[in-house]
Amino acid sequence: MNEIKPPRIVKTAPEGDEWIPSTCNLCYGTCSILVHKVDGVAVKIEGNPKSTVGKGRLCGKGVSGLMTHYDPNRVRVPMRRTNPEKGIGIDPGWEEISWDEALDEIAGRLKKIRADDPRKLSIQRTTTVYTMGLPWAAFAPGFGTTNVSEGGGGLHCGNSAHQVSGLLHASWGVLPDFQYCNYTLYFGASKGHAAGHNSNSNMAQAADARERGMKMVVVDPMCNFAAAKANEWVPIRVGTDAALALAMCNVLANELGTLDEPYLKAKTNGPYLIGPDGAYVRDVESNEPLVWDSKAGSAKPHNVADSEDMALEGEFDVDGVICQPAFALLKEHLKKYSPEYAEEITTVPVENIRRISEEFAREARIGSTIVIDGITLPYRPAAAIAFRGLQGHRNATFNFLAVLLLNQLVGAADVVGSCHGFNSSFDGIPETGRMGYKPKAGPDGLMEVGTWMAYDPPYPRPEPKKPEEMGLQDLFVMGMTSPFFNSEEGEELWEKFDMPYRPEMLINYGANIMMSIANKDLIAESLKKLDFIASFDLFMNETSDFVDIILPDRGYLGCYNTRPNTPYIFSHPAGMGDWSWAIQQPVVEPEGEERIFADVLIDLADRADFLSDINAAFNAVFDLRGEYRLQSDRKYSYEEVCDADLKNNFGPKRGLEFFKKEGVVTWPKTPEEVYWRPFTDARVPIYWEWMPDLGKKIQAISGSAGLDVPMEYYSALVEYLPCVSHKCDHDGFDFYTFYYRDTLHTNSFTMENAWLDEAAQLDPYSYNIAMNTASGLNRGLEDGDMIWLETERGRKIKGRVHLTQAIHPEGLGIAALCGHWAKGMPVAKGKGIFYNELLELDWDYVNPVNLTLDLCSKVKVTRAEEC
Amino acid sequence: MGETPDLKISEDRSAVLWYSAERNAADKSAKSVDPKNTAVATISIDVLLFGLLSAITTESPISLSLPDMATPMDVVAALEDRFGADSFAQIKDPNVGILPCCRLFVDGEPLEDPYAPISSDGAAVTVEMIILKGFEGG
Repeated sequence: MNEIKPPRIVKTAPEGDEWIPSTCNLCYGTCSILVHKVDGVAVKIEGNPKSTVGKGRLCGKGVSGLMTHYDPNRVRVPMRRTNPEKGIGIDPGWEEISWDEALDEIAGRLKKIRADDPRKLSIQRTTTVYTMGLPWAAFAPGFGTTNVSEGGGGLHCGNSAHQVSGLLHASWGVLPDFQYCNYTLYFGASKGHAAGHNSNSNMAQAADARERGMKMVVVDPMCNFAAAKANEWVPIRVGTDAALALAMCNVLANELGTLDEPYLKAKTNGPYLIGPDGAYVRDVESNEPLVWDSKAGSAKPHNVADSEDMALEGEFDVDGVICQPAFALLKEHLKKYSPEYAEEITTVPVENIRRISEEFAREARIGSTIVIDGITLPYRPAAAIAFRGLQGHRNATFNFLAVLLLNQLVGAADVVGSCHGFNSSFDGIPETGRMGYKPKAGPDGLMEVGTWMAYDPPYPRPEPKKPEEMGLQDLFVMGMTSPFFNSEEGEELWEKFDMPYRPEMLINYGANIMMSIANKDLIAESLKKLDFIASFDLFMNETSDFVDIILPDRGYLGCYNTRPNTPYIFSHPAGMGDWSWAIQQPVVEPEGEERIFADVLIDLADRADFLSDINAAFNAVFDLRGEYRLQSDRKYSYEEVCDADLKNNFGPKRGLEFFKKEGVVTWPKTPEEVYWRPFTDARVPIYWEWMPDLGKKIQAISGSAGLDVPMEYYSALVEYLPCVSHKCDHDGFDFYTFYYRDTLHTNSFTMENAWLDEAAQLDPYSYNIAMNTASGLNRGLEDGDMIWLETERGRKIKGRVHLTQAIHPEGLGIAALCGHWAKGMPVAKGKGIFYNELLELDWDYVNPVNLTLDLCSKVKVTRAEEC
Repeated sequence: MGETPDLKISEDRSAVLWYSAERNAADKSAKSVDPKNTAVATISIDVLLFGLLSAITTESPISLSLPDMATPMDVVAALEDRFGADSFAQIKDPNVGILPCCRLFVDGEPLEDPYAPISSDGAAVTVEMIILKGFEGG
């Protein structure tokens, strides 16, 4: 068994001068860091070279963490509002209070709600410090509420990406196997070129890959961070990627015939027989889906026939039912997505569509193998990936599926060089075997994930029912973060569904939902309806205008976290190399009265009389066993919980004290872990058989509340469906807006960081509206002009235009979450454009499968007067 | 469109690798159905409900006496008998038995399969149940 080798940090320093290992949280890349502390002050932050996570590198955001930590505008003491009136820009009249006063008041309200109906409490948290979610994952269930959300960071970012990646790759997201990939297609993604999951490690791997000769083709409305380093940028009309991807699938399947048939037979539900009703034809005795065994000349259950003998095409009579393999239906279905059709929708020229399809097919090297560490593996050095940019549209589910289908057709899934899920398989910690997970076959032989970020895995899905969750996710069972927490429709729908409670209280952890979800007036109204809001935060931001008690958070340089990089499906390097387990620990003492938020949660649980429940929840969340299980009625510090977690996983000698000193342990990955697909007897769905039936069941319930489900989104076969913006035919509305994640910033809080702001002001894009040069000049605009953008519904934003050739002629690109107005963030205030002011939050703009919000708009552009 | 290029390789060396997992799998038979409980001895089960489930009753622990091959589904059925089916509707599902967000622990050890026996030796056990709700997204 592999031995864990704790790396030794050999920097020697005089007393009062030390380097402390921890983890960054300026974004959710969670890179391992070393913080140089001199006489109690953090003076420098670097990457930790001993960790696989970041590989010793740190981006500009990470090194600037000092500026966020020592920002004089930080909230340092608990405060309570004295002005009962809540509204945008209305002074709350903050008064400083003690922690006891603050927590007594909050606990008193929690007790009342818990006795009445604990679901009246909702919790929102930021994705920025995603990995600090575990205390919340214990607090919410311990209290008894299921109403949890992640604001815009959840709603905008990955509802579809995670779902579809989970179904097809058993992971939270996908990226190329950079070490061996030769050809990669990016659709609305920037893996390895900007922030996000495992950012620094990916950047190193991507740079090495480009140097090695990997060809990158980036499909994006803007020649941005990824496209700027690509071999080819494919400008595309905003929100139409699925049409392009499906046309490419059509070329592969019906023109070139470049298909990995053994892969399709063995690893997908392509061979499953489909009847005239669109459903699986099932074995009468076992109820398993049938396939046609070509060798035997008869139908057999999928788990009885040999994959090699399964038919992918043809028409068969099974006891009088005429049926076809699912793949045959898919192949026929793809024909309507001709390259000519795709050109019309996307503006990508036909010849480019065919050329790129051919390149992808050629580079996939169907049928080839390679030996890695003595193991012979399929070799498919081509990968098509996608992420936030592609999935931020109403057709989110199918957009993502269309791209990943490219990989499925050529067998480029979780093998050498191909599209990978992030660390879908893990053998466990070597010395204890703990934490291991592997994908496996579930109902109908379809793949279940080995691990997930939450407790509702993507497959199998539960039955939809009349909802009792605020976000209606128990009705929309493929949904994740929901708009109904804050939308105007939420109240109406709760009424129609006879929801037995209404939200009364919100606890917020760092989510600036006034900025992150949609237009501010709508969110303001939803917040005003709540009786009480408590918020842990770093700054007085836009959401603080509606908060009743604000609690100062210590931030990432002051917290414990034993699992910043696990589960490994979220933010740990994929591909061959090492596993690393790092921790996060307090590096410096608080500047004011800030407390570790996890301790505050335990304190609240104690004051509100649910200590035994939060302890049971910690036991469940951390899977604590034996002597490390928390005793029911004892009040622990979070430091003690962390120690139990580490010893539970690594043994009695490697608890918190060990990790505080060593910072990280590493051990090597195996090819079987990394390239797990050939070793896993499970199939992925390229035909989503369950969808039509699921849609009907949901409609049967939602229809009663007047919420009609457009059934085209519940097709078994992937479709291109237009966004609301594509249907706009008003004169003068001729640009599509979209936002992108600026590599210099994360969510909304980094605009307050003085170093990052300085860098952003040097960048011509960060705080401006990018417009195509020719498009701008044709409208009489000049670089630097102030312009208004207005949607069909009259929502308007204003900003300075930057003319560039690096954007589609119809596109307007704006960096996300700028445009602050809060006085408590003076560095951020007034910088950039608040894109989300354009966003609606109603059903027309929501993906009816996974509840993603449509983030693009069709706007008219007019010159604005200079102030 | 010009001549279609022939992009297929001459020999598919990876096919055998794609087929290997199922050939190595021990069981090619259809999935077994729920085991029928035919035992006659009984075991004592103390059930502790936490979080949202604790609102169902103030009784803690809830003492049950069930046949010694009882499964989590049997435990839930017994709880439904005592407290009403509505109380546990939030954790049951026709597709998966017990929703994965409802975590069960038997004497501190997690039990993943709702159809697996709770106790293998007939000894008294403590079962803890809690509904977890993680934060998805990002």
